[in-house]
Amino acid sequence: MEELSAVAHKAKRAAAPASVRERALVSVRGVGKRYPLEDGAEVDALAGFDLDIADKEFVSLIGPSGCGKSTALSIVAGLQEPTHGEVLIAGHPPARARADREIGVVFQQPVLLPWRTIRANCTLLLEVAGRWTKEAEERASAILEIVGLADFAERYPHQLSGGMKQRAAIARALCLDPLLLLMDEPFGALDEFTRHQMNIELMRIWSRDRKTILFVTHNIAEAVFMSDRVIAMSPRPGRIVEEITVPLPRPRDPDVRFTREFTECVFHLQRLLERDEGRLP
Amino acid sequence: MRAAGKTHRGPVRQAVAIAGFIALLVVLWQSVIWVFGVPGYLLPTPGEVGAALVGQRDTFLQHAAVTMTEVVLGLGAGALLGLALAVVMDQSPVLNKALYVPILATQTTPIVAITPILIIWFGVGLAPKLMIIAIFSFFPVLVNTLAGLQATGRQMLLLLDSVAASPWQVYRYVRIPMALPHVFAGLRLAAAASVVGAIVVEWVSSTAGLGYLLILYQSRLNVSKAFATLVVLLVLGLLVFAFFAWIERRFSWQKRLGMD
Ligand SMILES: Nc1ncnc2c1ncn2[C@@H]1O[C@H](COP(=O)(O)OP(=O)(O)OP(=O)(O)O)[C@@H](O)[C@H]1O
Ligand SMILES: [Mg+2]
Repeated sequence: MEELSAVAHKAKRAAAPASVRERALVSVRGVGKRYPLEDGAEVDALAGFDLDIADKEFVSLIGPSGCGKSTALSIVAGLQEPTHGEVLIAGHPPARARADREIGVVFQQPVLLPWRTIRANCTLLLEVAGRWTKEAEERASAILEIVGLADFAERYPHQLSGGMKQRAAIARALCLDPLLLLMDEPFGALDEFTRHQMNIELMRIWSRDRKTILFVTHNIAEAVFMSDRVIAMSPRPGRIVEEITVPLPRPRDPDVRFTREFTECVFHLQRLLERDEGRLP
Repeated sequence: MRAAGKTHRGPVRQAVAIAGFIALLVVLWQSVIWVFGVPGYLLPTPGEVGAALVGQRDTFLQHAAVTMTEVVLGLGAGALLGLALAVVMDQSPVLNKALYVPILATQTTPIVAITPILIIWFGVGLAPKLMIIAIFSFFPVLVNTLAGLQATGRQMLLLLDSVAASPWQVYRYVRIPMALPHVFAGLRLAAAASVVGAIVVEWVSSTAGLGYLLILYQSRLNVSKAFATLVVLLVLGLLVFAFFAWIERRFSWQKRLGMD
């Protein structure tokens, strides 16, 4: 009897953290990253970084240049090891999620292979993952349709505009059908108009596919428009200074940008970041 | 479809241009002889050279075959050596540093000076000849391939890392295709270098080949035959070059997409 209750007790203890992790798909605990510099000095790119991202949540990281946004993102992806702390994705280290192809990344540059058609670029990672099946191919066609590149599937990257190439990069990440999408300023190189189009498109994709997204940007309005939560960071050392939950209902109409709640949210973050840079008291 | 038409017309147009240029050269050559009265023992007429080419065609073909064999084998060995070294140096930063100076030394040493030594060591057979030609030709292949293998951007490598791609997959899907245009550029340079290498080797020690013929005719002051040999050599060099241009058109994505 005693033995049994001990086992039950153990099971209960093990179950508790698992249920917490069920809510948080990504859990970042006390992560720090210290880069050595050439002259022997060191730079704290990230310090005491804590972040939980719930399943299917859209979280943005904003902050001035050099505050460690890219560093945080690549540590979450497991592309870099943190100096301190740990990252868990669905309860496992990021390496596991990468091996299971559960992470899709998109960078500021589309990084497409010039010798592959747009379709072949989108299936590249599927081929690498050994998941290039008939269904995957059909899925790729469907995704190209969603991002509006169906008519350009057989073209080559140099024949596309910057915005189209960026859509191809997003399609490539979506083709993997990952649990988690990590996007590092994916629209940073686009003009304001195209950027807004892409925001709307990404919203549409996100509400259909319901991925968990961690989105890095410099653009406050973009972050507020798309996110459930916005995390503001500050540099030297890179850390979280504030976290706001966006009070706007979903689905969000583009016109939401002209509402008072939206403007207040943007203004608040703007003040926060400017004060942080010492431009305001 | 317009792009396809262009690639078909390209070589034809180029051939016409080359033929036109040669014709112009021949006319100029002949006129110089007429206008200035250059004596035949200094500069033969195009007619004399043509007559030598036709009259001695068996000799020329036989010696051209010898040189061509040396070039093909030596260049093949050099290209393979260059490719292999590039992969090794790309893989290992330590070996990259260690091999850098010795490799540079093979290019700064006057090859003509060490050829006799190699012949003393390895005899007058094919081996030392191929070695010299390989030394001439591996370097451009190595340098260009190495640059090509390292031309893949950091973000592309991170992207592959995000799906846990193996090193072999990174080579196969990205780094090798990315390197190809560089490799072709290296091979073209190596082709030219290997012909020079073959002639140098035959000058120093040989009983056959176009380099040997050149020395032979010069020592006999047979100017028209020496010039005829040069013409054969020129054609041989162009053939090797054309072969690589063909390979490149066939396998280069840059050429295929009209991106160079
Ligand atoms: N490989 C590295 N070696 C040394 N220092 C680095 C390295 N990568 C980043 N850093 C430093 O870490 C800090 C954070 O860099 P990071 O790229 O994460 O910033 P960021 O917020 O993404 O900036 P941006 O908005 O300009 O992209 C910077 O001070 C940067 O100089
Ligand atoms: Mg960045």
